[in-house]
Amino acid sequence: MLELTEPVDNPALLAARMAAQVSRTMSGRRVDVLLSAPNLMRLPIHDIAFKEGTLL
Amino acid sequence: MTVEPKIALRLQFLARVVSKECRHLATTDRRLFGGLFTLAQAEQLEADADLAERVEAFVGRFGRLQDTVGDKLLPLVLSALGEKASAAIDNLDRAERLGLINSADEWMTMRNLRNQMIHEYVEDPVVLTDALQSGHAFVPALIDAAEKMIAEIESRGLIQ
Repeated sequence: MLELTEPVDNPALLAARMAAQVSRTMSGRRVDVLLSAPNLMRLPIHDIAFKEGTLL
Repeated sequence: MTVEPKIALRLQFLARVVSKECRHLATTDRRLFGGLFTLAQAEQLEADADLAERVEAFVGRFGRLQDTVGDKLLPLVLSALGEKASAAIDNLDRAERLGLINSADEWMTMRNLRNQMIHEYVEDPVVLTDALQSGHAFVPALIDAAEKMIAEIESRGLIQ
């Protein structure tokens, strides 16, 4: 999950680009990127990520 | 350059399928994005069955063309060109070097967009709207890649 403090204009495209970049560094392994930003809904999956995720 | 008859038949078959899928995606793309797909439309999807069906058709055809080109046609084209079979990421890098796709990173981004286009489980309409608009913006690059691969195998006499 990527936490942003400013609203993001293209959240889906940004998440897809980030996932592609991370996937490349992991030899093409499948990666999902979840965004948290002031203009996006806060969903249960965000709470799980905040609670159980590991800070990188 | 020649290839085994069964590879040539498979290439011919995939070229026909991909051509058809390109036409279908272009049609759905025009039907859904007559105007730009808006946040208000994303919020109306539950209530507007016709719009929801057009979204599903677009997402299905966008994903299907990407799968057929990236997972089926590209490995076979590379093999027919004498390249070694490799992992998907390496195939995309080779395709970029050969000028068959604009960019391997762009292709992977397109692929990662797909899950965010599925309106039944993307709950944030802001994310869904951006995913669909971004998918629409990638349609020309996707169709262009498909056409380049078909042109490449035609120009080398691998299919008639």
